[in-house]
Amino acid sequence: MVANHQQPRTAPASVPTWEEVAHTHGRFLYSLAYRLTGNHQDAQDLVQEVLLRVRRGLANYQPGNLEGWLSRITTNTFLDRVRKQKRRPTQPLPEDPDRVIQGSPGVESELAQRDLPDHLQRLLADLPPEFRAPVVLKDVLGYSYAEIAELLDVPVGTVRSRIHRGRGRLKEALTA
Amino acid sequence: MSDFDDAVDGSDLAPEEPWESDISEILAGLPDVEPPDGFISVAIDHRPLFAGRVLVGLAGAVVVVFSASFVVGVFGQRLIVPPVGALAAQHAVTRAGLFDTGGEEADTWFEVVDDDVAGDPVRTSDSLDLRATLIAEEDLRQAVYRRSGDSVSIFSQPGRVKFDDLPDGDRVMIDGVLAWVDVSRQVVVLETAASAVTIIGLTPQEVAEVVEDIPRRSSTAGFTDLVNSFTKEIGFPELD
Repeated sequence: MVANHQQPRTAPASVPTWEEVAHTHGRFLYSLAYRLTGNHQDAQDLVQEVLLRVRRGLANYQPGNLEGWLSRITTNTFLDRVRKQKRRPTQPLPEDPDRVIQGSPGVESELAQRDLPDHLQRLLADLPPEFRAPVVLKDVLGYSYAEIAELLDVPVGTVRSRIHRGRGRLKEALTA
Repeated sequence: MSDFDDAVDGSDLAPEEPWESDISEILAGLPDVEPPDGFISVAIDHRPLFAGRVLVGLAGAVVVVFSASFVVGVFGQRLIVPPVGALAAQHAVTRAGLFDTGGEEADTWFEVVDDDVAGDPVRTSDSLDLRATLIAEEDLRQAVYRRSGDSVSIFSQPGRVKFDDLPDGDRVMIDGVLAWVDVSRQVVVLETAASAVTIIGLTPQEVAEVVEDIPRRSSTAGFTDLVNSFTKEIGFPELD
């Protein structure tokens, strides 16, 4: 049997430009980066790095679940940075107001309005990164265990275990 | 065994417990976090440093092609046209390698050398920390500095700058010395007494702060005058 290599006549899905990704998904990237890193300076650094990786990766990107692809890059970039920091511990730099664009004042007030515990993000940030990343992907972004396993390239059971343990630590902290 | 050596297949894991659903629900209620005003635009504005300047090879390695051209001037001095695009790419790969910015492994034509071989163009500066010196053909040297968590590269090559052949950008006078600034304000080309100098950073502010430390052909103004001369030319607020 001869394989049919004829291409369908449908127009190929277009790959967005780097600028389109940044404009359209910048808020998504930033929100994820903030939940992973826990502060604006690290979130901004992470998004900058992610956008560079996105720019390099777009050449090989197959149109599909763009936010899934971005989540994978963001989470793996975050975990890469954590691993490198562990290998090369550095003194944290003081917050430089000239370098960090301050967050929108509306964010904190919105949190207060919703009566969410202010320290929830801090508790999340206190989780080990290997627990924090799957917990954020599952509970904040709503990915399934299977999707997270694919994003992080670990077995589903590992994802479930880490989420279970991460939630357990959050529960302990919230009820302490 | 580390805290995370927990690879399991999941077949023997119990289903989620009720308290897990509670935690999940609380987390699901966290609002999206808006980026600060203008952040995305600033992030995009950083693009020119990389756009069209990094050639990604088959193996994912960044290959930098230097095509510096020069001619011999009437007084025997070489007239240099710094290959600003390739130099920006070189800065990107060294930045990635030295400062763990997540860049890929890179092959370049530069070789790392001892600091005393390549020299330190800035020599003394409290705000800049020399992290590496590299050298390529035609005595093209690179000094990489760390500052405020990021980095700036200074490339130097003996000769005079042939400004007419530089790509689109702006010509500005800094302390009476002609300089070329690219549209992103991240690359500056000027002359010292004996060399063509290219300064590359991620932000115009970083570049501006390095410019004031470079000993130029004529340098008579004070520190603040030098910085203000440059920042005024590129449209940033002056120092008090």
